[in-house]
Amino acid sequence: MRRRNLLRALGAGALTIPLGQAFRPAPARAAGGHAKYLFLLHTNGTAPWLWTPAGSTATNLVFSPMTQPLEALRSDLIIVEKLSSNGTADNHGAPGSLTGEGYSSNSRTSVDQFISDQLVAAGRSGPIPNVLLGSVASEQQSDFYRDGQVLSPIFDPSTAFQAVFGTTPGGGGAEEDPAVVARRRERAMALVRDELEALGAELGGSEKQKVELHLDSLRQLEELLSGTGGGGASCPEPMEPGDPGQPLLNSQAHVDLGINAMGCGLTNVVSVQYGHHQSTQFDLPGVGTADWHNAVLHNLGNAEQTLVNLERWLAEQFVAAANKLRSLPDPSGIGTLYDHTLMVWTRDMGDAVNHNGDDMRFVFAGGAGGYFNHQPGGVYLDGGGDAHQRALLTIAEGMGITNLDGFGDPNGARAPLAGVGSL
Amino acid sequence: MRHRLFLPFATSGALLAACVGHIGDDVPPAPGDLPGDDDELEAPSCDDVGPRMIRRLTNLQLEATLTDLFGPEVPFTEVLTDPVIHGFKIDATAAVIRDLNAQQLMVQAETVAAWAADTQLGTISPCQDHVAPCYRQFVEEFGRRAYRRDVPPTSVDAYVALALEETGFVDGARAVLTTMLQSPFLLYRHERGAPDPEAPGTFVLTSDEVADNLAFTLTDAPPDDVLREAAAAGRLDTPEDLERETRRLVQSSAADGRLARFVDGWLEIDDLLTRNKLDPTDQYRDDIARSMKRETETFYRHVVRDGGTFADLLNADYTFVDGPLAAYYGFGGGGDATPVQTPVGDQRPRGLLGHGAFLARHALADSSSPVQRGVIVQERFLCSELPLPPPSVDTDIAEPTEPTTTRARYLAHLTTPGCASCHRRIDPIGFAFEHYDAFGRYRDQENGYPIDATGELVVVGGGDAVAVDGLDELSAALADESVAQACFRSYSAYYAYGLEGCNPEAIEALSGDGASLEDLWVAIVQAPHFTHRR
Repeated sequence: MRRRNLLRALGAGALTIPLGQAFRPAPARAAGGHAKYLFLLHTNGTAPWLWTPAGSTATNLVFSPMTQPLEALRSDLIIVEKLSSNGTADNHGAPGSLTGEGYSSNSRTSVDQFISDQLVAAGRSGPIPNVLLGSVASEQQSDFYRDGQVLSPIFDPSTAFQAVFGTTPGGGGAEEDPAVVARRRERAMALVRDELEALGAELGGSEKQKVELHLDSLRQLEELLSGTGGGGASCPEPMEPGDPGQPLLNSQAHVDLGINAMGCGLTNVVSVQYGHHQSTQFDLPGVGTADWHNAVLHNLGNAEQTLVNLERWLAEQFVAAANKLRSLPDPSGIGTLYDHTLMVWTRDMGDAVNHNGDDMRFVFAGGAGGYFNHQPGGVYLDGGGDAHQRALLTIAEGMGITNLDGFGDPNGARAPLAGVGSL
Repeated sequence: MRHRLFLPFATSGALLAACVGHIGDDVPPAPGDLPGDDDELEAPSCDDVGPRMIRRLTNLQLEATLTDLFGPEVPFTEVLTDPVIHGFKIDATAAVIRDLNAQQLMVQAETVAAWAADTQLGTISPCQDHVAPCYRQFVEEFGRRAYRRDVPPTSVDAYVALALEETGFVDGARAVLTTMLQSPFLLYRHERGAPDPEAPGTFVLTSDEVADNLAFTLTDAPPDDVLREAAAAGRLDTPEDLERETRRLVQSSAADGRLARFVDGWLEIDDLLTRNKLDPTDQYRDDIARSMKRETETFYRHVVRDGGTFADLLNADYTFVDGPLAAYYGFGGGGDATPVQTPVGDQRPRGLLGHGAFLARHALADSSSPVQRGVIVQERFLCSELPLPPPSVDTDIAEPTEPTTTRARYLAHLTTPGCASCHRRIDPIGFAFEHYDAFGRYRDQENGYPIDATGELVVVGGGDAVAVDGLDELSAALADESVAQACFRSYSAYYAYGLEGCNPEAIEALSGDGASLEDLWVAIVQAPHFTHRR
C-alpha cells in the first residue's frame, strides 16, 4: 500500500500527535484484570541446564548468561519451568507445545487460535482475528493448529505487510473515493461468494471444507472492510519491510509489523515463530553462523557458546518487542500497548537437546491489563512436573477468557497455573 | 485427518544420533504411501479414483496463469503460502484459501486489474463500449481463458451487471477483472467432471478439466494452445490422446521447471543455497552450489527425456557440469556457464547420489553425516517410516579426544545398546558415502586415516542386507531394488496428484520396474485418478 493511502485511511491528523504526549495514564498495575492483546513469541526448545535462571526464588530472579537480557524486564517477568507436556511435546515437530494435545487428537487447536476465536465470539477482536507470522518457508509446519489442521505462518515480511496493511481503499488504483471502492469490493465479493457457494454444493468432505474455509476468509475480509479497524492516535506509520535475507531476521521484522498492527487496531492476537525445529540457517553478528537444529542443538559439544549467543539474541528480541509495545499508546488512549498486552515466550519442547518435553518453560511479561501477579524482583515458579497445559490455560485466562472448555486435552489439567495472575 | 506418528527425517540428521525405536516394526511401506507426517485437512481417499475435488493453484501456477492472461509484465507478487509436504509444494489437500488469504488475493486482484485496465484492454478485450453486449462478449471470451472453461451463464449475467454499475468501460472492465481474479474458477483447478453414463455414480472429467490437469501436472502452467484446441475438438478423451500430449509436454521446454522441481523436492536439495557451509578452503561457494543444483536438475530432465529409467538415475556414467563445476570436480578446466554432458570417468561416482548437490545438502556444515545420508536414502529411496529417537536420549555425538574419522565416531551407534536397532539401518548406508565430504569433494583419507566406505543396504520388507563398498555399489544395489522402484513411483505419483496412495497398482501395471521415466509419466496420466471421480 502506498503511504499516502495509509495516511488517509488512518486520518493524517492522528499521526501528528506526538506519541509520548498522547498517552493517558496506564491502568493500575495491581493484580486483577485481563489483557486486550496477546503477543506470543515461539521458538525451538533449548538446553535447560544452560538456560535456567538458577538460584532464582519466587520473588527474585537470578539470570543465567542466556537469560541475562531479560533483566531489562525483571519486575514484569514471570518465568515458569519444569512443566510436563505429558508426551505431547517431546520431540521436534510434536504438536503439543501450543495445543496441549498429541498426535491422537484430530481437533487440536493452538492456544493463539483458541484465544482468537474466543475474542471474536466476545466481540473483543480486531478486524483481523489473529496474525501468524514467521517460521521457515522451506519446511513442513507443525506448531500452530486450528481444528486439527496445521497452519502456515506468513514467512515473507513483505507479504505479511501486504496482508495486514493492504486493504486501505484505493489499493492499486488512482486516488479514489473510498465509498466507491467499498461498493466495488462488495459487489466483487458477492459474485465470488455466489460462485463459491454453488461450488460447495457440488462437493463433499475435505473438498467442501476447502470451500468453507475460503468463504470464512471472505467473511473475515468483509468484516475488516466494514469495521472500524485502522487508525487512531496509536497507529504507527508502518513501513514495508525489506528483505532481511534469513529467517530469524525475517521474524525480527514480523515482530515490528505485528505490533504495528496492534497499534493500528487491526488485530489483538499476534504470534511470531522464530525459526523452525528442523532447519533454521542463521548468520548473525555476535551469535554465529550455523543451523539451529543440527549444528547447534545436536552438536552442543562444539556449539555451546553459539547456543548461549543465540538464546541471548532471542531474549533480546523478546525485550525489543516489549520496548516496541511500550513505545505505542493503546488505541483506547489509556496507557501503552504494553500495559494491555500479555506477552509470552513459548517453545516447541522443553529440552531440545535430549528430546524431552518434561521441562517446558514459559516466560511471561507485559502489563496484561493487570492480570499478572508481579514482584519487583521478578517471579520464578518451579512447575514441579505439573502439566504445561496449565500454562496454556493461563495465557487464555490472562486474556480474560473464563470458559476454557474446548481448549486442550479435556482429560488433562484444566486449571490455569496458581499464583501467576488473577482476573 | 491422518496423523502419523513420525516426521520426515531428511533434514533431521543428528537427531537420530541416538535412538531405541523400531523402524516401522519392519513393516514395509504401503503401496503409494510416503513416510512422514502430513497434517492437513483430511485427505480424500484415493483408493480407486478419488472424489470430485478442487485444487488451489500454487503460487507458481497462479503466476503462470496471470502471465498467460496478461503477459510477462503482469505485476504479480506471491501472496499465498504453499505448504511444504514431503519436500514438495504441491499438496492438493493442504493448499487452501483461508484466514487472511482472501484479503491478500483481493489486493493482488485490484493491483493487477488496475494495471491491466490501464495498459491491456486493447489486447484482452474485443470491444471497449460501455454497453451490455460488449461486456458480455468480453466476459465470455476473456473469461473462458481466465476460468479455463466457459463462464457459467449466471456468472456472465452477474459480471455484466457489475460492469454496468460503473460509469465507463475502463472502470467496468477493471471491475470485471478484479472479480475474475478472485474467482474460484481461476484460483482452483476443478476436477468435478460430468456424470459417466456408463457407470452411474462416477464422473468423467471434462475435456477442459483434463487439459487443465495435463497442463498443470506437467508444466505448472495453464493449458497451451495445443491443449486448448485438443480439448475443444474432443481429442483428449482416449488413453492414446493422453499419451500423445504427455510425451509432447514432457519433451517440451515448458516442462523444464516442473521436472526440476520434482528432483529438487524428492532429493530435498531445493534449499541447498541457503545452507550454511563452513569450507576451510573457500572453494565451495554460492556459484558452485548453484551449479551443483543445476547439474542434478539438468541430469534428471535428460534421463526423463532420453528414455532413461530409475536405474539410469543411479547408475549413469555421465553427468552435466558447467565450467566452474567441472573444475571443482577435477574434470579439468574449460567450459562456460552452460552444463554439458560429461563422462564421470574415475573421478566421480555414478548417478545422482554422487552429485554435489545431494552430497553437500545431506551433510553438516563442515563434515559429512552418515546419519543424514542414510536417513535420506531410507526415506526417499525406500519409503521407510523412521521413528524419532525416544525422549530423553542424549543425541549429542561424543567429541573425539584425538583426530579420527567420521565413520569411527558414528560406529558407536552400532555398538551402543538402544542405538543399534535403528542405526544399523541408517549409518551403514551413510558409510558408503564417506569418500565424499560435506562439500561433495572426493577424499581418500580423513585426518590422516584412510577412508573406509564399506557399508550395507538394509531394506525393510526387502531381502537380505546387501554389502556394498562405496557409492557406486550402493547406487547399483538401490537400482536393482524393487522396493526402491516402487518408492520412486510413489513419489512421482504424489508429485503429480498431490495425494498419496492413488492407483499404485494401476501405475505399476502400466509402468512397472524397469520402465522409462517418461513411460512412468504416461502411466500416471493414464491411471484412473487422472480422468475419473466418484
